[in-house]
Amino acid sequence: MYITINGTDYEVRGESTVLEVAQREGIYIPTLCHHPALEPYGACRLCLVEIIAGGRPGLTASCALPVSEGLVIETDSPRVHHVRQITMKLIMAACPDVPAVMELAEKLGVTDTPYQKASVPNSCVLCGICVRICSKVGTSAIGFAYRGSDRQVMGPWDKTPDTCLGCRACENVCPMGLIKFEEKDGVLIGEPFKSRVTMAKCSECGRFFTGAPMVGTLQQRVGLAVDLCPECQKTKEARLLAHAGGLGRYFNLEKQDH
Amino acid sequence: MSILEELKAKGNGSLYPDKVKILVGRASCGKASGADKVYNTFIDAVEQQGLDAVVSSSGCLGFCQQEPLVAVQFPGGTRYVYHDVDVDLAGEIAAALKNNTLPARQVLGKEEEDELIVYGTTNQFAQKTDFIKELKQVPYLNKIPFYALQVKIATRNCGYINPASLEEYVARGGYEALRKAVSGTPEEVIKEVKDSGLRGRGGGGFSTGQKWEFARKSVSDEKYVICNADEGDPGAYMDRSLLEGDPHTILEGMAIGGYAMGAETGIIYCRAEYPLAVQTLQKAIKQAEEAGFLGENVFGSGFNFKLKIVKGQGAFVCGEETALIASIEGKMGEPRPRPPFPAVSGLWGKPTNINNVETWANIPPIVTRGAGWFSSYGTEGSKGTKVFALVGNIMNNGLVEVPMGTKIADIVYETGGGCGGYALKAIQLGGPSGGCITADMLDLQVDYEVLKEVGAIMGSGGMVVMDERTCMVDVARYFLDFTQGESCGKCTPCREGTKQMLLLLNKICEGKATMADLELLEELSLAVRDAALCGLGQTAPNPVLSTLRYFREEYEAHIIDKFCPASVCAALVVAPCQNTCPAGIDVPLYIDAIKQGNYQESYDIVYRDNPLPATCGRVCPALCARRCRRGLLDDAIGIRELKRFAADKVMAGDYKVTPPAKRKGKSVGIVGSGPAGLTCAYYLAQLGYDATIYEALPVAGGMMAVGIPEFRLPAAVLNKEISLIQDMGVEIKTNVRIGKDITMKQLQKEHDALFVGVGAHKDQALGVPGDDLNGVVSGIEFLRDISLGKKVDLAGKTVVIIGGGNVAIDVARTSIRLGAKAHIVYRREEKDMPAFASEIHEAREEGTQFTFLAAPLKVVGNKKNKVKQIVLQSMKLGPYDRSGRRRPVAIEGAEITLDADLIVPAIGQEPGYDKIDEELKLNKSRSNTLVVDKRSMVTNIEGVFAGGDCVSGPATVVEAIGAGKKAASAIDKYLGGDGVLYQAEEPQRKLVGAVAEAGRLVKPNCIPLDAKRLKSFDEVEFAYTEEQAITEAKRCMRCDIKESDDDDNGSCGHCPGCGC
Repeated sequence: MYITINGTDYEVRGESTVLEVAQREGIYIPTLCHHPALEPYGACRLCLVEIIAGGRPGLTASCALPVSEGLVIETDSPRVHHVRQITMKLIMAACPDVPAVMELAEKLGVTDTPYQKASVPNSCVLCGICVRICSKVGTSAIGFAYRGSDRQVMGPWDKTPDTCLGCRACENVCPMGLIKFEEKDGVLIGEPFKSRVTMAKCSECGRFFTGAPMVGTLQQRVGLAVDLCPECQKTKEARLLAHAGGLGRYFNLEKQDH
Repeated sequence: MSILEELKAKGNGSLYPDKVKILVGRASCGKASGADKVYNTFIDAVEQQGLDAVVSSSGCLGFCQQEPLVAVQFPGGTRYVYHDVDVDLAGEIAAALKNNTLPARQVLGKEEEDELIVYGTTNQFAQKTDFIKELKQVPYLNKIPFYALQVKIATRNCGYINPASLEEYVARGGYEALRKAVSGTPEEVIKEVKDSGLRGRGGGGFSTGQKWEFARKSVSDEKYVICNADEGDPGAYMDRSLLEGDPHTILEGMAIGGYAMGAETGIIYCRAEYPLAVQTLQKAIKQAEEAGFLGENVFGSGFNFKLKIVKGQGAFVCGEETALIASIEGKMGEPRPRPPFPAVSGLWGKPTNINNVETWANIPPIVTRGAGWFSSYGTEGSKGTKVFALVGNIMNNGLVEVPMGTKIADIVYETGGGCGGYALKAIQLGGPSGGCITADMLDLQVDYEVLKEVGAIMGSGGMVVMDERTCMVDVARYFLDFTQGESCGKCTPCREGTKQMLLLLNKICEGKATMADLELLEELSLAVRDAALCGLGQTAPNPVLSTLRYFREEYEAHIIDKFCPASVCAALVVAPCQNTCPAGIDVPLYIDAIKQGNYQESYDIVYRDNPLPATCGRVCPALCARRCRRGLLDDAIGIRELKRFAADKVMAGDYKVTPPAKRKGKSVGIVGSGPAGLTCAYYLAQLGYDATIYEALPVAGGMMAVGIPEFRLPAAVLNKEISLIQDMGVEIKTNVRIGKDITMKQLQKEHDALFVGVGAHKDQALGVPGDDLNGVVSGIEFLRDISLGKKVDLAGKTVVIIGGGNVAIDVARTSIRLGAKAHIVYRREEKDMPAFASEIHEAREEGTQFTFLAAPLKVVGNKKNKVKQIVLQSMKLGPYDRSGRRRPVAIEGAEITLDADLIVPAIGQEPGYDKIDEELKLNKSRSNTLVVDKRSMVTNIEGVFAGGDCVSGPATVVEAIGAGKKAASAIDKYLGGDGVLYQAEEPQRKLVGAVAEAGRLVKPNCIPLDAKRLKSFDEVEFAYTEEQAITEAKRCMRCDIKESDDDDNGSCGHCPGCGC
């Protein structure tokens, strides 16, 4: 099937969204809340595009817009540009002086916001990627609390979430780099969610390496027994390969094995 | 006998029992007004006092203003509906019933037959009618204005059946439609619904039949139908009324929908804040299951349908369909992007159809009566009826179901009874997602497309009526506050955008905004509408956009003038009285000074803002008193009377004004010595300008001198005030007519600036044959002649006056004093007369005759061309016009002839300019008034300013004073000043002495009405006595004091009964 983006026709095979096609074709559409591993969310509204034909004319989020035959899209029409800039200015007012936000704003030609800036400094743009990845992992240890402009991400009742696995997926996906996990005395401390997760010990080297609940969940859900830290796991795998023959000369196994 | 027939027989037995039946409306609205107590009173009467009657409960008849409503029905006899029933009246009814009679008070209407909408038949249940003599005059319920236009299809059973009785529902045709539907094919049902033209009543207005067709065509092992009962628009509650008053119609509608779409499960998503609705629904579902209308194999058709209730937990956004579905699934109630649409992938990923409560309620009658019947109501694109929640500043508050296509004017003025004497300003349709329409648009019909075109929506049917006491900026702020608080926060434009919009609106309401803020607000509103994820965010800006569309001036007043015209925005308003007064007099302060016995101080406070206190104390229409908050409690304060008291007290002494020693060395010429000119001159003189007034007449004062008769405003009082203005340094040259004695060009040369305040002294002609006969004298001319001392003897003559304003009344009262018989002819009804009510009252007391609903056709003269008779066309009341009055329409062939010696038309005035306008080429409006910039009062000619009646059209003295002040300030600025008329310190506002709790308005004494008064031009009304004045002054609640004395609830603690 063919769709038209900014006057050029593109062939699309199979199901995908306009955003995916654009990214594939190197057409820039800004977004804050989209993550390829997650379902379309349509929240940040930066990825709005204008449907010219082939659908209900108007602005719509490209991340949630499935391609269909004959769809004609403008990704940076004056209307899109105008509304996108205003949306960006709103984000700047909500998260003033956040470098990642400023950077994106500059890309969109926005340097300042006319709106009243948040009095309490806040860096979270509420893209919800952490919440959604946590749900995707299957625990929903964190979620949104409060509504409207009071919205925040936290554990239930803003207490240490008791279902956090310590998988650190949230830390990994946060586009603002706001989520930090640290190991301390065998406990994984995750902020700002007040996560406190007891860590599992590597059966080989004795180092703490991940949240104990993560080990249990992997065993339980996918039948994967993990008792080694990533380092030891690599070593173990390498050794197995070496023993299987052919690759041994690439590894100085004897040395590591004492 | 089939189950339906069996139930029907039982239901008829309980609808029409063989003894007296007392039906108490006990829906939430009734309960809130005390219906349970009333119900218990009747139960007691039966159980304890041996009253032989059946007592039952029903839902709501819709007339919320008059709840609790109680219907009393005699076996085989008339049913009477009582309103505002309290325990006392309930006891009275019970006692009377023992004697087979009923009290004659508070009877809303009577009924003798029931309309069975589902069948299209009527049930004449009363054989013996009107056997209670005292109730013979009671009108039929469906003839009283509130019900006259209503057609009840969705709400057909509300208030008529006991919602807990399946039998009664069936007796009125219930479940007949389901039986019919399942005996045919699903496609037939869908066709009927589609052909009926029914559109979603929840707000979207999408074709219900089409929506059903989509769901029908979705292939799936499982489908769902959902009833959206998450009603949450502020001011809309028709769904609650339906759920509480007629639950089975929802169940039946949904079962029919389930059959048509192939869904076996239905879910009613009802907000938990409607506990009675939930309880009523639960009971109904159980009954329907037991009777076999729900569950397996409905009516032996093989169709299975089960229903359950899910309670929404108070998030407005859950009314949005995808958020609603998420909520049912146990997820956070947040919307998701569409597509996929619920008809394809909805609840649990299955095809799902969601309709609103009112939509479902319309289904059963459509199925039994057919599409043709339903679509016979309404307009081309909008069929059937719509239930509106008619609320706000309206006399008859309630739920009204009217056919689509009904004119909004009829809903507001006929059904709603109007705004209770205040001017209608706007109507908000569709709640926070909707928009407003203005008083100019009342001719619009209720129709999806028509309303959309003007920026409003049908929405769920909220119809909030707002009168002149409403600030439209505040309204927008209110709705934004609501949507901002209800935004789920998922998408940026709604979460951050509505917050920023609210911040901007707050800034405007506080008078801190700039015009750039207004631009920002408008730009942001449009962007949020374009960019938000769901309906909530997309429609949240509508109240801002529509108020901006129709009331931009009001926004600008807040921003530029720091003025809230409706006296609502607290930060900009000292007190409603002060804010409303065109001269801006600090009313609470001068009343307080009287309360303290400081009359001179009181006078000084008034005089600061109005150099004509004694005059205004007599003739001011007291716009301030209309907005007096004490009036909400008992009577407004006698503000005008108090002003007169202080003025008369001080003027009786030797009051003096001192002109400023420092002169500006510039001069201003003022044309016209009416209140606008005098005021403008006074303030300019006070600032040190040389002010000269040019007056064409031999006396100064304009309309005050020659338009208001002596018995209302003695010349001596006016002249004394004018002499004070002269003492300030104003020079008044009378008998100088522009164009004859001097030209405007000459004035322009002589002065540094000019002010034109020539008033509106030209009477409009009658415009009928014979209006130029000898003996036709215009009202203004008549009054002017008398004021200027012309001797007129009308002894034994008949004066016919045409018109309904104050001039007409003044002419009548003057004629009577000159010995004539006065007869006023007015083309509308008495209540529509623009004259002051007190003046009409006094004119009638003095013997004036009135003929209403008549307009002149021709004046008949005798051979000498002298007036002999006037022929009038009789009129009847036509449709409502934009002023909320019914337009008079001629009754063909019906004429009245009155004998007359003098005919005085007083049907409105317009400015007369001599040569002023032509000479300077001043721009004029279509109504012949001068066009000025409303802030700087400057005309199209530099240095020439104008104000008063010649700009506004005929208005009041105090409005002209306000215009004169504004012009003085503008002229000062033009001549290099700062525009500040006087320096005053910020006054101390403190409550000294308690506010009088009891006591109504003190009425001033008048000359007794006797033959002497009717021959004399002495002033009729006296000033307050000192005692009266202090008593009245103590009633002022001092709304100007903002600090709260009562920390507990934030009320100021001044008013004797702060219920708000």
